[in-house]
Amino acid sequence: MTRDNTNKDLPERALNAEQPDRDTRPMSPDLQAHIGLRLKAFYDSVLSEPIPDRFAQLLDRLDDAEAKPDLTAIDPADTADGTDSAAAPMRTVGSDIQS
Amino acid sequence: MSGSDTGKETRRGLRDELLAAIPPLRAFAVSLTADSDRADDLVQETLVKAWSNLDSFTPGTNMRAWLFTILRNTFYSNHRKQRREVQDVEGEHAARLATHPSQNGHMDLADFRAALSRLPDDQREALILIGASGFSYEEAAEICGCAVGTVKSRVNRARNKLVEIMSITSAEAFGPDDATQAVMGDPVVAIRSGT
Repeated sequence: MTRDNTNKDLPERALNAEQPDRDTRPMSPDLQAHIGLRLKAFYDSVLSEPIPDRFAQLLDRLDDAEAKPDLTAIDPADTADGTDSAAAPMRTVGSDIQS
Repeated sequence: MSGSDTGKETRRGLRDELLAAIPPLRAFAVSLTADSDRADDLVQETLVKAWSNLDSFTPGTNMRAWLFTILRNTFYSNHRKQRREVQDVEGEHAARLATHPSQNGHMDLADFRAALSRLPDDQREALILIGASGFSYEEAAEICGCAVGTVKSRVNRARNKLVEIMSITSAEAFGPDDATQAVMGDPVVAIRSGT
């Protein structure tokens, strides 16, 4: 059923295309443009949101920590995979700011 | 010790660059997680990692692509386990959203977000990077760690899949009879119930 709906949206030549190629065959320009506009609208809606304060404060904190080596809670060696020890303190800071 | 002043200045500049990169990072993160709170956590983790790995960034190269790579890798390494459960929940959420015909632009966005969240991860990220974030196929391939041709086919798959999902959405919203008519008529009407 889903296939039928989709196929009817596509040019006739595409309808007769091999099924295995169905997912990757070119889409009609109209449809592609339509998807593109919707995608941009979605993306831009997030882009246009103000940057939450937590991020500027986080960067300031990171910079401060760098300036005072004793307080450096972020160990570069720790970030290869999973920065739990690095991210956790920051997350606490973030949630403080949020609430 | 020596050169710490220049290091500090460099860090200042990089801090500003990081700050400027936050909106696109958030948009990418929202696309990946389909959840604003999780997205912001992901961005935060990305910033911490980026900051502690600034040494590995080559000044003059594409910082946005570098940050997107970190965010993407963080998403997959940290959220892989949760992803399946969350996607199930999101699937239900998407299905609920899909049954409401759009009345305005906001619902349109919500519908699209729901449709996007139903794409396979690899297709969604490729579509976002190419169709919204403004990366070249080469950059997207580097970010995703795959071949350029793979990105291209994922983007095509994503577009086709979106049309499919949104056709279903529209069919569910209209009910079977109207949906058939819509599908037989204007293709754009078939994708979305509104304009």
